[in-house]
Amino acid sequence: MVLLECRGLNKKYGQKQALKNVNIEVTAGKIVGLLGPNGSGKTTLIKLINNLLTPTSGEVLINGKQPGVESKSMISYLPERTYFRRNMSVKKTLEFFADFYKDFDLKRAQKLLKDLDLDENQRISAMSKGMQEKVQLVLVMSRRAKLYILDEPLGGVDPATRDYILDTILTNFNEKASLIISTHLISDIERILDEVIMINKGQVVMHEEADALRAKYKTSIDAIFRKELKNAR
Amino acid sequence: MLGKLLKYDLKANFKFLAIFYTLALVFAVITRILFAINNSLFLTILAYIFNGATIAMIANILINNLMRAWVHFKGNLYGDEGYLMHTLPVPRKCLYTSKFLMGLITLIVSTLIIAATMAIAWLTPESFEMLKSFLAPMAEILDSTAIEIVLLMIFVVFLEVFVMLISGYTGIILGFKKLSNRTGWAILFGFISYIAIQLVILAGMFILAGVNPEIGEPLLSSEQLVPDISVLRPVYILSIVLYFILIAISYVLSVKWFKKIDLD
Amino acid sequence: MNDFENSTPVYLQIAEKLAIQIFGGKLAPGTQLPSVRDIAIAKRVNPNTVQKALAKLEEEGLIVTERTNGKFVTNLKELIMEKREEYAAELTRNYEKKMHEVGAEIRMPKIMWLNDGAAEILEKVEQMEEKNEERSRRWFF
Repeated sequence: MVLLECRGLNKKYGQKQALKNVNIEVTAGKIVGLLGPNGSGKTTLIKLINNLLTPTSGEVLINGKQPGVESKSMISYLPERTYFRRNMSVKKTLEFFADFYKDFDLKRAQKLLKDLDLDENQRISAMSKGMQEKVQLVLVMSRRAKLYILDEPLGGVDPATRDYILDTILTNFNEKASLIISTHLISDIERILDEVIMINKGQVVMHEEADALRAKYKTSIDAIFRKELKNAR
Repeated sequence: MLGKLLKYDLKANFKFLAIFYTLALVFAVITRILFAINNSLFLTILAYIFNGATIAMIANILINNLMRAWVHFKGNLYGDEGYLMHTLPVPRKCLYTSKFLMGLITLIVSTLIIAATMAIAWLTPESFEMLKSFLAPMAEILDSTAIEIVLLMIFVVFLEVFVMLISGYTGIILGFKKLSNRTGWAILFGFISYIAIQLVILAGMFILAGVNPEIGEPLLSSEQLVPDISVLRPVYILSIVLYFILIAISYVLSVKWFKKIDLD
Repeated sequence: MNDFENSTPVYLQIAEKLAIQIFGGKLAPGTQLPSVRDIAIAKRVNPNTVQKALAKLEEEGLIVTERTNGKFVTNLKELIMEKREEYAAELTRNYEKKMHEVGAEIRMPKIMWLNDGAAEILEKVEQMEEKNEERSRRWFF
C-alpha cells in the first residue's frame, strides 16, 4: 500500500528552485532514510508533506489524499525546531497532545520521559535546548501514527540518547506504519533503513533499497552517498 | 476542536492581559479613595497622578489587547509554534476562527473591564447626572435614553477597534505570503485592509448623504451648517450594518487567503 | 550492537549469524526462534531486515515456519550438516584466497597432522566419535 506519494513536486522561492520535479512513493511498513547535505531540500520536502508549505506545482498525496485534517491525524512529525509554547509545563504539553491527537498514548509518553530523566513538572522555558528536543521526540514517538516523519532527530543529541532514540524508533515501529528520517549523519542510522532516498540540490538523485545498494556497490550507504555527492559537484 | 483551540488561545492572551486589568482596577480604586479623602494638597496631587495612571491603563488595555492579539497570531501561526499548530488535525479555517473569536472575546472583556474601571474611578451620582443632562437633548430628539446613547456609542467604538484587530490579522496573513521582510509587509497590508474598510464605510455615508438630503446638505455644502442631530440615527444604523458586512467579508477573505501558507 | 558492517547487506549478515548459531548447536534443531520484533530489537535493526534474513534461511531449509506457532530450527540434522559443510567450504575458499593474496602457503589440515598435538586431537576425536558417530564422521571426512 502506498502511504506517501509525491507527483511532479516543485517548490520555488522567487527565482530559487528549492525542489525540482520530485516523484517518490513510500509504501507502508518501511523505514526510509531521506539523505542529503544541508540545504539540499530535505526540509522543504518534509514541510510540503506536512502542509506547512504550498507547492509551486505538483502534488503530495498521503494515503491517496491531499494534505488536510485526515493526513495530519495520520502523520507524526518531528520538525527540526522546537515548537512548544514556552510557558507551558511538560505536563500541560502532554495534555495538549492528548487533547488534539486521538492516537496519543499518554502512558507511553510518561514512561519515555521517565526513561530519559525528564521532569514532567518542569516548564519548557526552564529546559535546555537538548532537553526540549528530547521532550519533542517523546511526544512524536508516543503517537500511534501511520507515518512518522523525523527531521534530523539525531542532530544535537549525545551518543547514549542517540542509541535510545534508535531503540525507541525500532520498538515503536510496526509493520503498518512507515517512518521517514532525514539526516546527514548517515552512518548512525543506515543499519535500520529499508530504503534510501538521496536528495541533492532539490532533486532526488537516488531511491533504492538499502541492502540492494550495499550489494550493488559493495560498500556502505554512507560511502555511496559521499561518492554520489562528489560526482554531482 | 474549535473549542479546544479557543481555550488555549484565550489562556495565552488573558494570562498577559490580566496584568493590565488588575493594574487598571487597582489604580481606579486608589483614585477613587484618594479623591474621597482629599484632605491635603499632597493627597490631591497624588489623586491626580493616579487619575492619570488610570487613564493611561485604560489606553494600555486597548493597545495591548490589539498588540497582543497580533503578536500571538503571528507567533502562534507563523513562528516556531506554527509547526505545531499547522500540523494539528484541525481544519485551517478553525485555526483562524479561533483567533477571530479570541480577539472578539478579549475585546469584549477588555471593554467591560474598562467600563468597570471608569465606573470605579469616576462614577458618582453627580457625574452621572452631569452625563445625563449633557446627553439629554440628544436623547430627546432620538427618542431614546441617555444610557442607550452611551451604549450605542460604545458599541460603534467597539466595532471600530474590532475591525482594527482583524485588519491586523489580514495584514499578517497577506504579509507572510511574501518571501522577505514579512513583518513590514504585514504592517503595510494591515493598514491597507483597515483603510479599505474605512473607505467603504465612508462611501456608504456619502451614498446615504446622497439619498437623504438632511444628512447630505450639511455634509456636502461649503457653508457651516449644523446638522440636525436626528440624522445620527440612520448614520449609526448604516455604519453598524456596514461594519457587520465588512467584518463578514474580511473573515471570508482571510480564511481563503489563509489556506495557502509558507512557513519559514 | 555495532557488530554489523555497513558495506554488506545487513540481512545477509543477520542470516549468517543465525546460521552460525544453528551450525554450532547454540540453536539446537527444533528450537523455536524469538519473534522477528524481538530479534530486531536485540540486534538493533529494522524488523523488515530480520524478516528478510529469516526468509533466506527458510529458503535454505535451515528454519521452518509452523503455521501458528512461529519459526523453528529445522529438525533435519542432515540438512544442517550439509549446509554447514557448504559454509565451511566457503570459509576455506576465503581462507585460501586470502593466503594466496598474501603469498603464504596454505597450512590447514596438513600441519595439524604433523603437529605434536595431533595425537591428542585424534584421541579426542575418537572419544567424540563414540558419543556421536555420525556427527564426527561428517566433521572430518
